[in-house]
Amino acid sequence: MEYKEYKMANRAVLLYRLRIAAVAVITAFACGVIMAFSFLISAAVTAVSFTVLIIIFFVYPFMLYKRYSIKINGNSLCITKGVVFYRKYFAEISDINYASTVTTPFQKVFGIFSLYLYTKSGQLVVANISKIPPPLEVFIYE
Amino acid sequence: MSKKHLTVNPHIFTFYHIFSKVFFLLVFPFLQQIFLNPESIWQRITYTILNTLLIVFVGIVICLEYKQISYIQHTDHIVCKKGFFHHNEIFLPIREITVISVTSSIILWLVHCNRVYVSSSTCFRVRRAELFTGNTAARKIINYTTGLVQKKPVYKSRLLAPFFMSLTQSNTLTGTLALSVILNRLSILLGERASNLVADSLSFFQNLLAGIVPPTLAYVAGIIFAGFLFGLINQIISNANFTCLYSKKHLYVYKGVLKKSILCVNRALVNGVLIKQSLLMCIAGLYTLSVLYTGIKEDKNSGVYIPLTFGNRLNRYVRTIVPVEEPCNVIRPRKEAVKSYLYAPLIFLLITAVVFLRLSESFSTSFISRFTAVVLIPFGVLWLWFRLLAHKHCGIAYGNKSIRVNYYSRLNLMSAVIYKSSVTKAEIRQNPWQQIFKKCHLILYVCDKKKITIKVKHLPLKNTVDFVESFIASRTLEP
Repeated sequence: MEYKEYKMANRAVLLYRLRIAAVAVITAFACGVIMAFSFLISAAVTAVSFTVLIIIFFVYPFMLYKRYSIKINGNSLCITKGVVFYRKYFAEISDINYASTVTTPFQKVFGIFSLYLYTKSGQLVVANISKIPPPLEVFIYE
Repeated sequence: MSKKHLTVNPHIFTFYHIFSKVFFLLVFPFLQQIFLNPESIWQRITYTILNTLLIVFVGIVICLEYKQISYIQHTDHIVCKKGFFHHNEIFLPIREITVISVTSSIILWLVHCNRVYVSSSTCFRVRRAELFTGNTAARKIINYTTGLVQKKPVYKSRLLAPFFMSLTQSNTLTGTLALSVILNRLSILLGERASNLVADSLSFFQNLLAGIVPPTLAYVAGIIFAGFLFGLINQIISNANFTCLYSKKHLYVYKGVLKKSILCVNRALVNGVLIKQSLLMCIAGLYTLSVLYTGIKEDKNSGVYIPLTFGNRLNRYVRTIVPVEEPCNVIRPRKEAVKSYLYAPLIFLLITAVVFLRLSESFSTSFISRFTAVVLIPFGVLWLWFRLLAHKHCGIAYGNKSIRVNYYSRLNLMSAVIYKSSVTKAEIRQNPWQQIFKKCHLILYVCDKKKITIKVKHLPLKNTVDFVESFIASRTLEP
């Protein structure tokens, strides 16, 4: 089957990094709380969690971006995503009942949004795109 | 302009239903009257008048809400109105009605009332009409919507069928019985051990634990056993006199003694059939069939249309709903994938053995060995046998119009025969382990009131991707 491939916006990588930084801040507070009880445990948790977070910060968003793809041919749609858990969604465009776009405050900062496609049996999310793929434009009325 | 056909008035029970929604408004005046400590008689009179006014206001709201409810059936559509403050009018074309469900609980049966749901799904959100009405009016709604047509019998249950149906239908139900016995035995054992601890008077905390844990466990065991009995009785009274009929356009299910229910499903809008076999049913070679239709979550009618049957009659019942075809494309888990199916029960058996060896040192060996021999090891072996059956059972095949998916969910073997058009989304999922061994789970999403997902596990990745792509392409070619 001949597919046309679309990717998520480049800026989405920055958004994911911002989210990881937010997690790092919360972890720092948690480590501070643990320190009140035990300095050793707190130091161990800090060392492990921040090493993991730094690796995730540099590797995970890039891999997420690389894995994410939206393939569309005339009739069907295939969304591929996930790093640890790899997922592939298939749906037919004619089965889509309606669509909606959602922009979170962080997404607004980076000028991206998510497109929700509703079918009878659930929803499909096309996350962090800067432009609606042309075959799906029919569902959005400007 | 279509002619007005039938006007149904809401039952008097509707008052109670509306009252249950606004009941919280009466909590405040009630508490105020109880705990009121006025400084003067005038203050008491003022508060009493205010509280009375609030109660009168709630009463007026209930009356106004009741007055607004109406159900009018025209020749080609239904108009259902409700709500005084938040007015809602539903216009439902009769050709788009998927299901009419009439249910009555024991309380509703006592007041000769029924809860009627008329629903249709044209989109992601379900349009529905809902009202409380008498027995005659409920039957009229069904007759006017489906027409007075001749119905042919599909299934009628015998006398003992509801009992066996209830006993074998759910693993959860039978599991509670086993759990209550285990907890009861454990409470006796801990009680014996606790009495020694109290005699030694180790610490206050240990004494407290010894005094609380064993009786609590015994009470919990008793409650769970009572729950099992109530569950069983509830299932029996809900499923007695099970009768299934069909006409050219509709399928009718009548069931229940005190908790009666009628289900009327439009055959043209049915998505498919779900065949279920619990662990006990696998041993007895029995099956349960349910209709998959787009309805509403609030409707408690289960959609079961053949409660108990043997394998030789299965195709006849399935054919009443969906065409049974010769498959043109089939995919099954490979023979090597059997390991993935057996990991969980093997780990369970291993843990059981380790725990048995560890506990036998601290507790009386006779009970532990008896318990392990009688309950845990046979369960582990049954689980192992079930997973082997599941490996043989799992697979997907599609024909020109329908798709048959064999899968397992917890301790149930399931088969779904669905119209290809009802599968609107497919997902291929891989965990890190499966990414290494090039395996995957295939999940199909079906339009159903419970939003069921059909998950076939441990399929070969490449074949699955090809299968899904060809399935999507074949759906597009469908006339």
